[in-house]
Amino acid sequence: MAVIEILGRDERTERQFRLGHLLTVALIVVGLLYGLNLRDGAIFATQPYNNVRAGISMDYPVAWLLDTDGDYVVRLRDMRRIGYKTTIQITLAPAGGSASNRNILDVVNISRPLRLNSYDVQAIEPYTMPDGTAATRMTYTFVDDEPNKFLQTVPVVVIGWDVLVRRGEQALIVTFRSDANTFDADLVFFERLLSSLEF
Amino acid sequence: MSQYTSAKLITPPREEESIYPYRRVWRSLTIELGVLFALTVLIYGAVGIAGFGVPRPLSGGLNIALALTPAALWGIFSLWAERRVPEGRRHLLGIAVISALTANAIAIPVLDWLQPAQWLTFTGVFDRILGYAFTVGIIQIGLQYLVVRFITWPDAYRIREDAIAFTTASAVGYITVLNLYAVWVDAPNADVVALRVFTNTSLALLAAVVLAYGLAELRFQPKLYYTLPLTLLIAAVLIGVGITFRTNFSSGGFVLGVGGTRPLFGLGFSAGLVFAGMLSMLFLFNVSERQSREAREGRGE
Repeated sequence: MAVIEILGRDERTERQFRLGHLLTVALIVVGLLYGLNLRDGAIFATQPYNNVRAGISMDYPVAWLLDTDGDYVVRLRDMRRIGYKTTIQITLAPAGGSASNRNILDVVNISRPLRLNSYDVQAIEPYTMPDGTAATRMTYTFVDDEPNKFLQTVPVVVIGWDVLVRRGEQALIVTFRSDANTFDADLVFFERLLSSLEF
Repeated sequence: MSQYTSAKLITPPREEESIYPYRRVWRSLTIELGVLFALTVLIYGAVGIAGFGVPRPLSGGLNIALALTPAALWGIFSLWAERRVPEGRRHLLGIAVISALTANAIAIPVLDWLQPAQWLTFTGVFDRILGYAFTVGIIQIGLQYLVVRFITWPDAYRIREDAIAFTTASAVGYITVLNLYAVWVDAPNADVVALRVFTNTSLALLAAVVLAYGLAELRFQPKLYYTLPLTLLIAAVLIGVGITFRTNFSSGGFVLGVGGTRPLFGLGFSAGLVFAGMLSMLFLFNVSERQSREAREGRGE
């Protein structure tokens, strides 16, 4: 049988109570901060990428698939995504002395409607890179549809950004594309990559 | 000639039975978990194995009823039972309701933002345990601790088992809301809901009992004040271990062709973990109680 303890509490006991609760609350706070740190480490962990030929270096998300076999310098995709795979792509384009940023983007806009469904340019506006370099940003949308009709997937609306930066006679186009529903949440990956980008 | 008469039998005086004035929380816990486990096996057997189909219009209602089952069992075997003993515990319903409200107001929005399942899926087992422990686990057990601490501390604790009654009330309120949320968001089949409700509830109750040990130790052995944070940490890690291995056991193995999931492995793991964990905690509570009694006897109290 359990024994009932009826005790008067002295100051020492009260101090021990307070200490126990204080340590517990501190542990909860530290534990939560550690959890957030683990989350940031898992989501935003990066590894370096260097391309000596193109003169580009940057840090990209660890779990993203890196692909260099295309008409781009590098393409990074988050293959864990269900539906449209969030993509960051870097392309180099020639930029003659008299060609404006708008001219270069117009060339891009000629070929894209052939490859992307319902391609629509939303805006072209000035943009400032994280290091203060002036750039131009083009915002566009398109519809991504699964080519295999047997999979019966619902088409996805994708929002894209092209950030164009001039480097001598070359233009660097950094493209970011993501499902419209997750665009804002995914933007942090793009911004972190731009912060680490050197060219 | 002598006459012998049979000896008169004298009935020994009856010792007055000492009435235990409190509800026996271990018995309530055992009954609640046992009934929940039996219901889970029954529903899984009927729907998942025998293929008994639940009519679509009834499916939503059945899922909600399943999510509310732990609360109903707790209401019958704990809350109602508390009113039938001479020294019933107070505040239990208040703890359960406030825990449910905090789960809805704090835990669900924070967990929705953290999305631990998304970023932990591709990490190793150890990272996953830590990840779940310091997100899902620390939020769950931390909120329960805060609710119980501010409502009951310190005067509501008369015996060590009071701590179990309070923390399990909090766990039931908290996990009921999470179960309802899961049913609301996913709307899976009844057999999946039954398994999920059992695994969530049993793990939450085990973690609550671990936390209760820390609270009881601080209340009755305040010299060991570090026991409470230590048990809170263990409870959080236990939740991390439970979620990680339950998911691992439930996932389909590598098979040729279509690999199905193995929900019975997950159920078996959860039941085994809770059984072993509860036995260990019962042992620890008994040891602490005995040590306190011996210490009192040693002091001549």
